[in-house]
Amino acid sequence: MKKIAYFPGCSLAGMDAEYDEASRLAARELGIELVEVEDWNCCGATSGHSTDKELSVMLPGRTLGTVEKMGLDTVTAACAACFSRLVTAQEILKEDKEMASRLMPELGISSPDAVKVLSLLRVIADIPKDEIAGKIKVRLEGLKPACYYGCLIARPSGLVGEEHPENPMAMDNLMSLTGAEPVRWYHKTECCGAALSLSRTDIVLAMNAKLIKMARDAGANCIVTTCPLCFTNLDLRQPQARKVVNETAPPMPAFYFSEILALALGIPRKKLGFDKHTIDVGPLLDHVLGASAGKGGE
Amino acid sequence: MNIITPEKTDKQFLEKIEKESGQNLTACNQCGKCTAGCPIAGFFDIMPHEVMRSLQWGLKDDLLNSHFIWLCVNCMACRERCPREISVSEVADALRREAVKEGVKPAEPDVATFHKNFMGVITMNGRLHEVMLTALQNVFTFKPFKDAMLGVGLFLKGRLKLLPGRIKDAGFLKLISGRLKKN
Repeated sequence: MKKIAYFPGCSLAGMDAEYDEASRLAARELGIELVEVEDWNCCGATSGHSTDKELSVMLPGRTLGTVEKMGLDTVTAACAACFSRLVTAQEILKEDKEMASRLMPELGISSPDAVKVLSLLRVIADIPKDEIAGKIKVRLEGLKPACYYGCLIARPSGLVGEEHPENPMAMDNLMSLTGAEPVRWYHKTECCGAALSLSRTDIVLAMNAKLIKMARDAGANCIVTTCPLCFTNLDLRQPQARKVVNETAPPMPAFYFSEILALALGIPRKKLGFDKHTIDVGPLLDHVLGASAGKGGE
Repeated sequence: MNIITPEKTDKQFLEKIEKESGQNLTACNQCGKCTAGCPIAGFFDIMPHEVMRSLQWGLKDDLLNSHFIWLCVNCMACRERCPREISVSEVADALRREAVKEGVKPAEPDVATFHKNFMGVITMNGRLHEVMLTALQNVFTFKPFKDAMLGVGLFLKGRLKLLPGRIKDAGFLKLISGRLKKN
């Protein structure tokens, strides 16, 4: 089994434990062992870089040093913000030689890019298609996800290694392998308002009401994301966002991409934290899994 | 028709933000692509391309007192699309840090409070604790019952961790809290 260092981050160790669980299970089914970074600390997003540039490097920098010490060459984060802070720390250390010479010895970093940083979506999308397709046990026909990448795994494209920052396809392709039919829509990388969720909730609600409407108009029956902040804004705050725009259409279920993948890889529905979602995903899953069972898929 | 000419330009401020943000601020030629693609431009008082011109003119007070510096969420759409390879996102960070350093009263106090609380929690424990962060936010912004029902729902679903996680590396905690105090 291929070993990759895994940085869960504060959200996955807290409110978004179901994303953590689904990610570990899905990766394992695909032959990847996620080895948790020892004694990891917060990446600092987004307050770190709003407060002090050096702190914004020290916080994710310690993780880069720890991964080197663990003897692993790649680290992955499921959370888009954690991933972004890890690659940004590498970028700043490469550009600012003076800061690098002070911080790198202290953090145990031998060179800024000694460790490869990948988003979990990228790690999984890099597995050959046939290999993933061969492991799909439950076909999720009838699931029509709007794949929502958000900002930080798509941008800045050079830094995160995204070939198509305006129309990323990694998640769409992955969803297609499960039998789901991702919809074409135009808000794949439009921001959800992120950390303004607690401080300027009004802005976040307006942004998410728009995202949900656009996904619905595109024919989606759910939104799939990779970022805990996006998920919180789309799922937990959806009832509030609906009130702002007097929404009468049914609520839009939201998922993490690894939850959908884990389900398709044959992880029992009960082992995944679907009951933790704010928007009830039960009827949609009944519909999709019922159809799959009917065709002998389960 | 009016042509606006700046009264005086503050070159020092331009150079300071240029260094802190790592961006070539004079490269901006006002095409407006950053503003066109900005998802929250509708909430800004100064548009992203206007921020760039204001910097070229050295309009320090306008910038440090703006809502823009607190509302930009660094989604990086501007950085991705700028034909002159400037990241307004990094500029917003640099201006925000400068406003804090200079003790400017933030135009968006709740956002500034959020960042302060966030850094307080993570330099104490090494990790963020959602319950603590939300509680501090509500106390310091005088909105004790904000999102209370969401909290109840999360608690009932077993999604709230009541006790904060803490890292073992006390040396690192000392290092980061020391660095925060320097600010």
